[in-house]
Amino acid sequence: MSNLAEKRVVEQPVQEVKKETKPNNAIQIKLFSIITVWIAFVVGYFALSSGSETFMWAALGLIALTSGFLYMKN
Amino acid sequence: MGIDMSQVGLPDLSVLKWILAALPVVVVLTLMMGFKMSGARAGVIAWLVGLAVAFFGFGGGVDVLLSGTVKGLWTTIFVLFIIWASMYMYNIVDQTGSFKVIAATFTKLTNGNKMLQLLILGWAFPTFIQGVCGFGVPVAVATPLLIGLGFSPITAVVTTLLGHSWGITFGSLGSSYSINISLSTVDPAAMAFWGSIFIAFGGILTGFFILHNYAGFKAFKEGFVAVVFLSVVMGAALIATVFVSPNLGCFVAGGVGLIAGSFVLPKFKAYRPAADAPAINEDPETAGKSFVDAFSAYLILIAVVFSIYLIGPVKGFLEQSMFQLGLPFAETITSFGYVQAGVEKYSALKLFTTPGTLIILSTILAALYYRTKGLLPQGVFKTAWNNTIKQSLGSTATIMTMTMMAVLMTVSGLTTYLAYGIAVSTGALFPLISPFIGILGGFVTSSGTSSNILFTGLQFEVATVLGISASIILSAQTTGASLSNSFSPGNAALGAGVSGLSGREGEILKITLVYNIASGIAVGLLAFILIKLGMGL
Repeated sequence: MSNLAEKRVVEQPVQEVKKETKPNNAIQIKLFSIITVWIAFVVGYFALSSGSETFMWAALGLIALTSGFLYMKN
Repeated sequence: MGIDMSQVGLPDLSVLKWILAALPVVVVLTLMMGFKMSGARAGVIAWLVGLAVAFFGFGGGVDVLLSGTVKGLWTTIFVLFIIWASMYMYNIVDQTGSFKVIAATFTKLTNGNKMLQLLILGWAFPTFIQGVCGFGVPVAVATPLLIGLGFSPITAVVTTLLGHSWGITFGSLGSSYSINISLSTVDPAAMAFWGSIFIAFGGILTGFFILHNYAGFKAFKEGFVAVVFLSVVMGAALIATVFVSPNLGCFVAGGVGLIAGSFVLPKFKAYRPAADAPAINEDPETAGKSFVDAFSAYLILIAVVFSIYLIGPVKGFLEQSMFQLGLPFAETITSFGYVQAGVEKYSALKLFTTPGTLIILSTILAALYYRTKGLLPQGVFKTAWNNTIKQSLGSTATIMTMTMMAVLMTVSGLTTYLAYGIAVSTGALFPLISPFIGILGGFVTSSGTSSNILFTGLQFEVATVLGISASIILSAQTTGASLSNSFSPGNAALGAGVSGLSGREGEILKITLVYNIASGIAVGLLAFILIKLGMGL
């Protein structure tokens, strides 16, 4: 059994999987960074509608934060 | 010429304040063109600079800052829908191998002359599409076609950016031109006449810029006749059509240019193959394949767009208020008194007539057609979608950050302040500067129509104060606004997205900046001379 398990471990193409997932991950992170800005957009819109200055500052900060994330990933 | 800036809700004019107002634009240009920074990154920094300038220099409270940012993001949905839809369509067409067939057909039609292919598909064809659709669609559709014909992506994207730009004023069924009429008391007949003259002049410039971008000044030797022929044909068609119906000017000009370029121009002596020229070898991969089948996706798109945009009752029905999606925004006002009126539906998305929807509908119809012809490979939709995601993310990020910056500048009054500064400091030389104000508006809003919305009132006011022809000044404004579509970050990002050049928007803008400066000077000179001759009054 242990031999079989070792064989299975050896047979798994770990290296190749890593190579394939790297670019996909980069795309997913890029996509995620864009989505976070849109989430901040929704928060920003609600903050504007609320008329509360504190909420608006917080929302603007959130947009700045997510834009910073977008900056790093693009 | 003294202008009381408190009347428009802006601080008194000063050089320091003007430099401050220009800072976001300067930052974005420097970072993209000087430091080759991606549009997305440059946009984020410029937006932050814009926030600081609006807050500290122009009295923008947090509501103004947030409103400008949120409005900017909302505005991008419209453009992003076009990009993602057209990229998906392109990837489906690409999977069917149709681009090779299209390339082979145009190679044959133009006797293998690359320059003619460039002028027909990069100038006349985008003009034709701009006539009805606009909103970046000409760039999104024609750029991949040129790349499919073997042109480098950078040549292709700059060509289509330039090629469609002259058609903006009388394109999109005249939406941009109608702003000049509705936001001023200028005589519509005079405006149509001078506007068409200026735009036809812009068309000539555009043709030569395309040649220059292709192969420098040496391209003039071979392409001179073709550009003169096409600009005369398209310009005359535009002027004649505008005389009857300004809304159809660009559409007719583009259609006439497409036919003349494809069937008449290749018969000119200069473009006929030499008697001893070897016959064009037919690629066995494309031999016997139908051009109509290959081009069907775009023919379907044209049919869908025309049947919806040109049939008034259909368009009217589909554009009812209940089919429009827009967010309500309250009025904002800076501490200086610069007002942005509240709106019920800001930048409303016309769900059934927006170009993105029409492209998606056309893609579905085209896929069905390809399936009946057995041209659709297995797994095409998934592959096309995966490719679309990879190709569109970069331009999506760029468009989002750039538009945040641009709309923030508009909402906080920075853009208007810049324009007033230019107008006041130039005085009698104003006609020379007038097209540059249009270009500035186009640059910050990525739209000729928006530039006209921003600056028609200002240009009209200055022309009235100076006692010069308002119709000529507004013509210079709208021509600058039109041509600036090749020099706006949003359009550059769109072009970069569809040509696989995401992140290289700065390189595109660097090229089109030179052409925009040249066209601004030429159009300004034309306006200056005509006004000096006392015309247009």
